[in-house]
Amino acid sequence: MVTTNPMTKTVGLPHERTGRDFLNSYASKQRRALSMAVTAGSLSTVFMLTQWLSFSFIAEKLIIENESLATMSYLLIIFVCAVIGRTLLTRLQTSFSQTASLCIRRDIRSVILAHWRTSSPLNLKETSVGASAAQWVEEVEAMDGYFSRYWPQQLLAVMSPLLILCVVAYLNWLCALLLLISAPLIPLFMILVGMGAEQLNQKYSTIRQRLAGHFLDRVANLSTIKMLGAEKAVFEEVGEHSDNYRKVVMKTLKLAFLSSTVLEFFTSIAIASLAIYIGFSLYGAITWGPADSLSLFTGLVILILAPEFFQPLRNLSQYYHDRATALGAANNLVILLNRGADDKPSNNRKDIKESLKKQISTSKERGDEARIELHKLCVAFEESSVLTKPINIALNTGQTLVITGSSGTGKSTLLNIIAGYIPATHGQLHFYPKHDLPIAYLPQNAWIKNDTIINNLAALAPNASKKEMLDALDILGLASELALNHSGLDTVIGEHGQGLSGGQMQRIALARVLLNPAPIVLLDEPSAKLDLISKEFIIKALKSLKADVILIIATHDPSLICIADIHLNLDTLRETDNAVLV
Amino acid sequence: MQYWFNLLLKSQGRRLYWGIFWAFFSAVSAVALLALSGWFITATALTGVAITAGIFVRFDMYLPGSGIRFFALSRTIGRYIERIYNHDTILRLISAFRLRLFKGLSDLPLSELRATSDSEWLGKLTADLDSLDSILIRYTIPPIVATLVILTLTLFLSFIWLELALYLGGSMLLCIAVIIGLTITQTKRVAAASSLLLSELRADIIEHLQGAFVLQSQGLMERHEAQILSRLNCFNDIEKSLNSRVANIQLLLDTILGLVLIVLVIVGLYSVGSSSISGPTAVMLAMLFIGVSEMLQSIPSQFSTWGKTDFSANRLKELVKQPHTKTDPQKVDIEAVSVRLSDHPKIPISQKKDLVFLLATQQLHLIYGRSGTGKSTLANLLVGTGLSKDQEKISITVNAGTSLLDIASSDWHSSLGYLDQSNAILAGTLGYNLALGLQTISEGAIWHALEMVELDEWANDLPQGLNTWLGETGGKVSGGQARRICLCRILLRDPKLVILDEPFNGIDTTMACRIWQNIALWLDPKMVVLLTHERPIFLSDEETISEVCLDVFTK
Repeated sequence: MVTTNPMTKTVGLPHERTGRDFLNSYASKQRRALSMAVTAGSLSTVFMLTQWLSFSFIAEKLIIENESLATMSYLLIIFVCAVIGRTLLTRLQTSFSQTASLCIRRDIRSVILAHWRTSSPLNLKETSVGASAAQWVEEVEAMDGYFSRYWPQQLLAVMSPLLILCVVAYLNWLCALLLLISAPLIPLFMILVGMGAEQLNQKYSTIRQRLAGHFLDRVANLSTIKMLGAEKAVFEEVGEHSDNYRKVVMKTLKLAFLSSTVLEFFTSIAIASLAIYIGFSLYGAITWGPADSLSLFTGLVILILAPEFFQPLRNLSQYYHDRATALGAANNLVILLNRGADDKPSNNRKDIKESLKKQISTSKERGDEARIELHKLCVAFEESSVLTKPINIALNTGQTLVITGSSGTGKSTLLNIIAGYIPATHGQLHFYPKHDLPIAYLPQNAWIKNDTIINNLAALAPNASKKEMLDALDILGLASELALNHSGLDTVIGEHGQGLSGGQMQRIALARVLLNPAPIVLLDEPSAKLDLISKEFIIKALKSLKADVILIIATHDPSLICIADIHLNLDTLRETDNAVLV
Repeated sequence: MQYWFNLLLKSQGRRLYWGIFWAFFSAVSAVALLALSGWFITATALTGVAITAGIFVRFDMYLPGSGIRFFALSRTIGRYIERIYNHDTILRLISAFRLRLFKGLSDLPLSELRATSDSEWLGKLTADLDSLDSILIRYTIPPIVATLVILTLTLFLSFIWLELALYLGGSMLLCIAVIIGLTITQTKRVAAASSLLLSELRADIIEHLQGAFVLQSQGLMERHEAQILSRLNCFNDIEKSLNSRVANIQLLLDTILGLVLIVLVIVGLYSVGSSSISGPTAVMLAMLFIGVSEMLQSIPSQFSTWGKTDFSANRLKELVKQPHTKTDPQKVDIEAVSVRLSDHPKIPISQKKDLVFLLATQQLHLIYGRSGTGKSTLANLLVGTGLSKDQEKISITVNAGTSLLDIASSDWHSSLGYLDQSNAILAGTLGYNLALGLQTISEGAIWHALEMVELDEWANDLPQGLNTWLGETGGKVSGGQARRICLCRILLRDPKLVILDEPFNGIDTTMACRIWQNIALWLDPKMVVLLTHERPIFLSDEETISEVCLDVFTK
């Protein structure tokens, strides 16, 4: 289970990877700590063996041979050392495996963060942010059991029983044989029972999901339910559904518990039959086989070791659900990480630009000047859905492009292509003087953190001083509004922007751009849905910003069209065949 | 946590006792199996030695032999029954908790409910709820069973050696108490802190992802991760300290158990030497102890989640704190409603002048204004959700003189038909969604109402008619259909006051006009409040209406 399948390795593409490979690759990164844990675990088995061997030996000497305890002080010391050594090693094993698990979880979390950093925000929007956050928080957390418990245990479940078996075989081969026979039967039965449980699980999973979702749905709609006076009916319904849920889950659980019961059964039967065999041999009722070799010493050792032989296997089966949870989480993660690998638009942008590096180096440097060139660029979501004719535009610092067009013509799509969030499938996009110019992008709905205004500004303008912030807010007319009505820069803006109007939020977003002006600024409907005061301030700010950047605005607003150097109307671009403007 | 524990006792008391019995039964069987086997082997060995020495001894092999087989079986069967039985109890318990939580939530005032129904928070709610099962399977059954087993053992041993039995039993009980106490005090705060950090991390991540659109193009994603990473490091440190605390307590417990075993072995063997107990008994003693210590071993890990469970339990308890008895709602006979408000923060016009108007029955009232002028806020005030006792600048009076605040909200809601802007479709069938909250309703009435909103043909074409499942959160209906289903829901009732907030959102004008005509007769005898952006086209000019305009700037 530890080694990865060579087939998948040779194929090597990330999207071929399964959740299992994913988990294994991370386990192998922490192989050192994990194998230390396994070593500590195996050593503790050795100590355990020493402990019981010395104990049984003392018992035999004392009870059968009537020697006095004082003569066996060295054996007692061995016994005491073994007991203490075993506990210490167990502690060591836990500490190694937990450290490994912690490192792995941190690694996985940074990998996800890095994935988010490079994959298009448009892809991120496909799943709800809540779900993504749950993936980062809960699902990674759910892998703990796999790395800290299951992974070391799957090796220990082989090592420890083997060690025990060797000792037992040395003492009495028949008993060892009995253990050996029952041990492989256990996984066999577990697999049989597990297969049944899996089928049952699949069969009931939809019912279960629906039942579990029911409660959430009713709570989410509680206000409607209350309005309609249906609390009582829904209350009964929730009870009924919970009860159904219980019945369905119990059905699966009954089967799942069977597998552990099989283990219990074999453990008990092994202990019982060993005890009886040993007892009868010692009594002299059994004379065949290696019965002669049995003494109280060997008998006791074998009897005590029998449950220890099964213990690692039982632990493994206990941790088995850790594996299932981790696998589920890993499969989801692999899907997430592969989605980026399939189409990584932002990388795509970088790729395109990297291929243009030579061109860039030959083109002459323009100092602070930046330049964008659109060469026969068609606005298109993907290769098949082309929205416009090819566009040829070149923009230098200080120039403003205003894109208009009725909704659905691709204004936002064009902005997304320039921002690198959608790959340019038709035509080319060139940036000068370097390929990864920072781009300030203001979407239609301003992004506001649930934090203070100062932190909101600093998120996008990390180097701005307090004074600069106040100045920028002042330009936008916010300084007075905020200082008057709230507690200035330390005002906390709520998650959904409570306490601020839409216009104020839009202006805070623009203040960030003023504080940290990127060479290229993209604005998506900056003046829609705004009150008149906010709108005036925004237009004023844009006019002052205009000279220092390349400004690209998608809008309906005639008052913004006025500030354009180039006006691109996507409506007309659909009909005329020759594309516009250079 | 006590609150939930009491609920556990109250709802599952008897099952709890039976669960403990079965757990006890299987634990005792396991210990007995080991002890009896040890005794048996030693006894047979001694007898064997005696026989070879030529001494005649009578020893019954078969009784202990069958005892061993019995315990082997009873241990297995007991364990299976115990697990099934206790898991059934857990699920019943969670179901009881869920019901209590639901009841608690539905007792919350509507305004608080609206403020909290956030999907993020909801998801957490179920996770919190599920984590409460620890109260039963970790904190209740294992310590009780362990105590019972030790008491039984002490009783059994006291027949053999009273003093040793008392010392051993006493020290084991003390050991359990100390370890549990230590685990809780050592891990509670750390575990709660880790839960808190994790939920803060979730909020950070959500914010980070929402900002990705703006951050990425500016190359600031990595920089923005700083806060997340520093919190993650904090979380890792805390988790590390929690783990090592638990592991240290485990080490302590293992050491104590090891030491007791050593003492027991030395004392036992020494007594054999001085012939105060027999050899088989000494071995049995050691084996008994091995069985018991196996049972105690998991205490630290079981109690290490105490802080996390406590965190969840407290959070949930806040939601269910105010249970109050409810009477069946009485409809209010609404004749007139007078509204007066000034200086409301979300209704700009009220900051310039007092907003005063009177609503009368059998009349249509149009309240219009552009977005952001406070239409929905006003509607919420009429519904009673935005009201509180300390707002002196708002007064809503029903008929002559009764303040809306003095009317029980369930009474008021039963007299109200409120179509709000969200289209709340519950996961359920079409019929279920329409008849929600109605005791008796004929199918004919439903079809008639569907006809009024022009959904009858659509419903007829559905594969299972009214019994068609509408999918989670109404995923299978379009926005316009959902709007009409919500309207239809109100048409099936007989409210005195109808509040329609943008009733035809997502529906084209011609259909809106037709539906308006269809429901005109139904609306006629009622007090109707219609909230829209501007005077709607579906209102004919002749219609006599009273108008309230909320726009501040008039062109």
